[in-house]
Amino acid sequence: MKAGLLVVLALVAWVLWRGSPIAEELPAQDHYFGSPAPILPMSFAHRDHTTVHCAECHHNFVDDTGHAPCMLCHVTDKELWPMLEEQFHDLCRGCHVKLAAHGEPGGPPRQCIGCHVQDFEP
Amino acid sequence: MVRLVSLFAAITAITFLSAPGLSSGWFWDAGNALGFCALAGLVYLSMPGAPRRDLRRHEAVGYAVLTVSVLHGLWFLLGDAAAVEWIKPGAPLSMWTGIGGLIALTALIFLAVMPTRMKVHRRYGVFVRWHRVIAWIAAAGVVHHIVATGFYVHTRLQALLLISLVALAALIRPWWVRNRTGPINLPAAGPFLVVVLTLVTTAVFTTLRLPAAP
Repeated sequence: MKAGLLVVLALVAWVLWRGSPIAEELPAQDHYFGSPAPILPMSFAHRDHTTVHCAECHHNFVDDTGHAPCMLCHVTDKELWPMLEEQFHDLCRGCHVKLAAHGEPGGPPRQCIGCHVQDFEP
Repeated sequence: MVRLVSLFAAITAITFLSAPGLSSGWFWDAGNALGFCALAGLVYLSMPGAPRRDLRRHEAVGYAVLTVSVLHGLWFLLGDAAAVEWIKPGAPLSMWTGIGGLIALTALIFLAVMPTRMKVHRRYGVFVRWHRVIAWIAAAGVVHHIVATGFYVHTRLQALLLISLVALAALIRPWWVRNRTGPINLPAAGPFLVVVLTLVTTAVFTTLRLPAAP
């Protein structure tokens, strides 16, 4: 059993050092949307979400908090920025999990690489 | 053996209490099943056995549980390039408590192995007390990791059942050993059984969720 543990630990060290030989390429972190620190890219295709009401995500359309794109506040606002990861994980994943729980096609509820890719979709 | 099988079954059952068909795809389900198996093994280690006769088995099962725990992390690092972000500074607290649980489990094992144990704790009583405290820290870290991520345990009932199961196993041991009311001479299950149960549970956990995979 100790030998098995050593093999697994050696594999962990290898993956951390050289990256996974089987996973897709790690998306490059950058100051996307003018973020104060490097963040992972996020993909969101509006055309895949046409059945979702706009205000489900764009709360500012109905609560009178401005008309700027999401990232302009959530990345650049000093109070909102620290909550970026939590808020967007809750929003995106929460909706996808709900759909999947109801047996509807809901996209990737958990896989990191399912959303954190360069956004080329309209 | 019955206790070990029951623990694996109970923890797996708790994950199915809400949204039993909810799947993240076989890859993520299998990786998370490994984590639940590691928790079942950790809880099993905290339950009473025959203290002296089973020390070697207790240690061997400890190595098996640690291997499964590390495998749980390795699985995601191997298959999802972005998962590495969850073991970096800035990762959510629930990931750090999981890592903390893993570190505590590692310390638990390696501080208990001779001759390290004698260097750190010369008195057996002090060793036992610290061993128990670190085990509680490991269990608390892992339970927080599971409940706070909310991937499979996301209702209050599930959280309550999981916390109760872990707490009961941890708190009952001193009472059980002191009062000798339980079957403390039952032979402990070995690491081979832990590995077999892990493989079976992971396969069952993944297969039962497979039809609903997106």
